[in-house]
Amino acid sequence: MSTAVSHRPTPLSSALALVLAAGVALLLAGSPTQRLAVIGTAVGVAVVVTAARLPAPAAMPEKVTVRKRAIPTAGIGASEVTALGAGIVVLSLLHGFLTLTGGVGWARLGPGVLGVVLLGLGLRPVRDHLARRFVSAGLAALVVGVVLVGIFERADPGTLLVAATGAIIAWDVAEHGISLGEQLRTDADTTSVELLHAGASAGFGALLVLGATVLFENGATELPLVVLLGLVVAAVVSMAALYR
Amino acid sequence: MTTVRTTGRWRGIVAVALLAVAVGILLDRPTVLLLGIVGAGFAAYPRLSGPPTVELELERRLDNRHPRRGEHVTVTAHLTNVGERTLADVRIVDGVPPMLTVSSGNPRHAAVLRPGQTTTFTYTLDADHGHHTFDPATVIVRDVTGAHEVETTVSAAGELHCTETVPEVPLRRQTDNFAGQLTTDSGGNGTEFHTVREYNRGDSIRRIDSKRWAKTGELTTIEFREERRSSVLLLVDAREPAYRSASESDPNAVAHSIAAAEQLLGALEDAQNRVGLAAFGREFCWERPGSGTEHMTRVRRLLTSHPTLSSTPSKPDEDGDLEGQREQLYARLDASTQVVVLSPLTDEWILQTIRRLEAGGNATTVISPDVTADGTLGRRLARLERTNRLHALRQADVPVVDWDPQAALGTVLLNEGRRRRTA
Repeated sequence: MSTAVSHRPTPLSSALALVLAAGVALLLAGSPTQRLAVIGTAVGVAVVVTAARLPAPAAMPEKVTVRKRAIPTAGIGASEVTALGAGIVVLSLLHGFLTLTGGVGWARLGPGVLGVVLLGLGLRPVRDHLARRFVSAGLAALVVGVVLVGIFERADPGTLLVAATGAIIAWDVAEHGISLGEQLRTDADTTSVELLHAGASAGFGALLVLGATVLFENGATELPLVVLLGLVVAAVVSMAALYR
Repeated sequence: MTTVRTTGRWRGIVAVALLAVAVGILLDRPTVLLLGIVGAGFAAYPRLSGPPTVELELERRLDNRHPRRGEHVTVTAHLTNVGERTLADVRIVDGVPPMLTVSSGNPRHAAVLRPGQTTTFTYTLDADHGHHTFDPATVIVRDVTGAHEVETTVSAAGELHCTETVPEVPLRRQTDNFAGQLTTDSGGNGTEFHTVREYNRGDSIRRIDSKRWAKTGELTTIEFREERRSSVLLLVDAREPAYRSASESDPNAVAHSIAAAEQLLGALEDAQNRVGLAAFGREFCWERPGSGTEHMTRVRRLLTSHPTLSSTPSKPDEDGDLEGQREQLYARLDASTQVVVLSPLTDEWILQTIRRLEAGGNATTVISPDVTADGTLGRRLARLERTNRLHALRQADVPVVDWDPQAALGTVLLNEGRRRRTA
C-alpha cells in the first residue's frame, strides 16, 4: 500500500490541520456523547496518519508459527497500527451514531466527523495524487456541516463564523503541508515556514470573523440590509478572485 | 532562469462563499449568509500580496575539499536574503553533485528570511572518487498566502576532489631513450646490478670492476640496469556506450575512468614519465605526452573541463565522428608511446581500437572498471560479453586490469604488479 506514496505531508502541518478540523467538528457537535465521538474519531485518524510514517520494523522475524501454522509478519508494524486507528474510528462513530436522536443530531455530527476522516485520508495520504482531493473533500464536508447547523439550529453566528474559518484554515494548513512534503520531503526542517503560514492565515481569519461579527451585531437587530450590503461586496470580491 | 507562477490554491474557496450566500438567501438564514463574508474574504486573501522579489545569496562550506574515498564530507550551506523584503516561505534544494550520495542530513531546507537574515543547513556526503562540481541550488519562494510562487536557481562555488594516490602503475617495457624510473632489461647506467662484461675501449673508468682487476689483472666492466622513462598516453573511452552504470544511483563507468585517469596521472608524474591524454566521445580530446608542471596542469584541466570528459551521460547521437577520432589518434601517436586504455569494454569497437594499437607497436594496457550487474537476462548477457572481451584481450597478450570500482584502484594495481612480477 505504501508503494503508491512517495512523499507525505509535513508532520507539523498535518497535526495542526487535524487539530483544527477536530476543533471545528467539536464546535458543531451538540451533546457530550457527540463530542466524545468526535474526539475518538480524531484520535483514531491521528493514529492512522501516524502509522504510515512508522519506520519499517527491522528486527521483526519473517514469520511466526502458531500451532504449526506459519503466519507472515512482514510489515506488521504499520498495518497493525493502521488497523488499530481504524478500529478506534469505527468504535467512536458507532458510539456516536447509535445514541443519536433525530435528524438534527445527524447534521451536527455526520459532516464534521466525515470531514475529519477525509482530511486524515488526505494527510496519510492513501495515494500521492489523491492527497489534495481528500483534503478538499474534507473542507467541503466541514463547510456543509457548518451550513447545516446554521440552517437547522439557528446557532450563534460567532460559533458558525469561527467554525467556517477554522475549516478553511485547516484545509489551507493541510495543503501547505502537502506542497512542502512534495518539494522538501518530511525530514527537512520546515517548522518556521509552516508556523508563519498557519499564523498568517489564522490572523487573517480572525480579522474576517471580527469584521463579520461587527457587521452582524450592528445590522442584525432589525436591518439585515447591512449584512446584505456586505454580501454584495463579498460577491463582487469573489467574482474578482474568480476571474482574475 | 526564474519562473513566476500563481498556484491558484485559493480558487476553490470561492465555492464556499457561493454556497453560504446561496443557502443563506434561499432559506432566509442571515447567519449562514454571514459565512459568505468569510469565504469571500479568503477568496480575496491572495490579492493582498504579490509575487515575492527574490534576491538570495548562497554560500557552501565543505569541511574537506580533498576527501578520501568513502570519507564523509559535511556541507554547510548558508542562504542569505539580500533583498529588502521578508521572504515568508523559502524552499531550497541544494544541487548535490549527481555522482555523490547524501549519507545524513538533508540537502532540502525551508526557512522564513527577513532582509539580511541567513539560514543554515547541513548535510553529509559520501565521497566517491572523481572531481565533483555542485549544481546551482533550486529555490522556490512563495508569498505568505501561498498563491504566488517564484522558482529560480542560486549558484555558489562548490567543488570536491576525491583522488587517491596510486602507488604504482603497471607499465609495460616500452620506453623512450630518456632516463626515468622504469627499470629496463638492458644494461647501462643505473643503480641495480645487471651483468659483468668484457671491457670495451671507451667504457667509463668508474664502471671498471677494480677488485677483479686487482685479483686477475683482467679488465671487466660492470653493467647496471638502465632506468628509462616511458611515454604514456591515457586514453579514456567516453563514448555513449561507455556511460553505463551498475544501477541508477551508481556512478557510470566514464566517471570511474576519469577518476582513475586522475589517479594514474599523479603516479606517472611522480615517476617522471611523460604523460599524455586522449579521449573518444563527443569530440576528440588530445594532449600529446609531455612532462613539466605546465604540461601536467594542462592535462589536469582537460580532465576536469573538457566536454568529452564529462560524467554526465551523452545522448545516443551526441558522439562525434568516432572513426575520424580513431584515425586522428593513430596518426598522432608516437611509436615509442605506450597506451593505457580506460574503458568498461562495452562493445567491439573499443576492442578493435586496442588491437590495432597493439599491432601498431604501441604497448597497450587496459584498465577496465566493471560496472556490470546481476539480475535481468540482458544484464547477465552484458556481463558475459564483457568477460569474453577481457579474455580476448588477454589472449592477444594485452594486459587487462579488471577493476571493481568498489575496491580502491591503488590496491588493484598493486596486486596486478605483484602478479606480473611473479609470473
